[in-house]
Amino acid sequence: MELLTQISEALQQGNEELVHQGTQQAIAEKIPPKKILDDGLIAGMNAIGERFGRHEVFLPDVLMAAKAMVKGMEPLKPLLIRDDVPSLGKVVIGTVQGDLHDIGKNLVGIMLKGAGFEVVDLGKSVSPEKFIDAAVNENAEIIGMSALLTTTMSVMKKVTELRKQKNLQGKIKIVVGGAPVTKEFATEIGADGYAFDAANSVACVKQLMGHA
Amino acid sequence: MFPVSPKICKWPPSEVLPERSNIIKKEGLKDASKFLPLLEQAEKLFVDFSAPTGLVGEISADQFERVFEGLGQNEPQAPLREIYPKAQALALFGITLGPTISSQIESLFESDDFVLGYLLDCMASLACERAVDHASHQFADAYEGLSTMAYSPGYCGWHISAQKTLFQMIEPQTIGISLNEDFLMSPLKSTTGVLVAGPREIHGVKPGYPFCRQCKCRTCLDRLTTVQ
Repeated sequence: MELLTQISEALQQGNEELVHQGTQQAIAEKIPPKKILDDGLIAGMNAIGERFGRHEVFLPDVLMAAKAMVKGMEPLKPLLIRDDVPSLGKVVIGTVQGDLHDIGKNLVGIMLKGAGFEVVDLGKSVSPEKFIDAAVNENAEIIGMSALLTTTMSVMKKVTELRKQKNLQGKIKIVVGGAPVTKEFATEIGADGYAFDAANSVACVKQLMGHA
Repeated sequence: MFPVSPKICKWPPSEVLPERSNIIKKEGLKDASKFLPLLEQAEKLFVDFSAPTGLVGEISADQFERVFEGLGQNEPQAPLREIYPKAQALALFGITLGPTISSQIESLFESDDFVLGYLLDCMASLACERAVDHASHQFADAYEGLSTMAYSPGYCGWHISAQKTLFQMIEPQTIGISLNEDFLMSPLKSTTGVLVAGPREIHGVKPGYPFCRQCKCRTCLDRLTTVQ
């Protein structure tokens, strides 16, 4: 089996050691770092993400794979930086102001990183101003917001309104998600995308950035 | 305010630790053996870092009416409005696993140990439910032959803003639970609500209410099957 396919398969199995070894071997064999990333690590994450979407595997399996990806990135990351390899795009994420539940947001960050995006995690209880300022300062294409409480969902609307006030609609797209959030709510507040769950957030961000 | 002061209950973490099979089932772990070492690690962390504590106070239907109505934002057809007047006994409860378990989960995510962090989070959520079951059984012991079920603000048409009146009545602050202006409880692994004891048939909620369309959890049916 080809080495990059082996890395991809090991990653899907959540085998950190094999992924790390395989990545080191691929580097030693002078395979271009971007190819190792795209055809080995990201290919594996994409495959398990698709299986998750088909309910063939569950979240802990995806997280095991993501953990293996972190291990594979250890030797690869310095080379990607050296070669100035761009990410798929930059996404600013956070849990909205007043809300301290961050497991869902963390999962989204893990999945997006696994898919090849650069993620700026603003943490919990993030104000509308902080979301917009961070996206502008970081030159991010997407803002991803999460809320677990119906009472904090209104902050999402404040962010879309602030984006409009600052004429940033064409530059920054907004994706919302979380237990009480619905597609209808996303449309109503002027968000560009609605992510049903962490895996869906990757598909949603890819679509908004033209990678689908 | 209570006829009898709310009772504080403390459980050893091992008593509310969910069955491993429940986590395996809930998380759909097909190859459970792959996750076994992590589950064992999570169980150890749970036992070391959680401090399950509860507060239960019996309340009259009249007193509960004020708690239930809260800030007047409930759904018009909230099923609990029909259920609680038929109850033979009601008790408010607050339950927490303490702040340390949440910090532990957070630090696991921060150090990229997110599989363990996620499993510990699931374990803690199930443990909260288990602690509610314990409180419910203790309450039910005093009312032999009745079925007891827990209902919480934020679910099934009972607006989360009712947390405010619930907190005024039972004061979960005494066991370390606080409420912010968005009605979010801290520590995160905390839960509050009302225990409703009565004939089994009063708990017959069917998920056909307008607000059920937007509900992603649909745990009401599972919960109903456990009512004895």
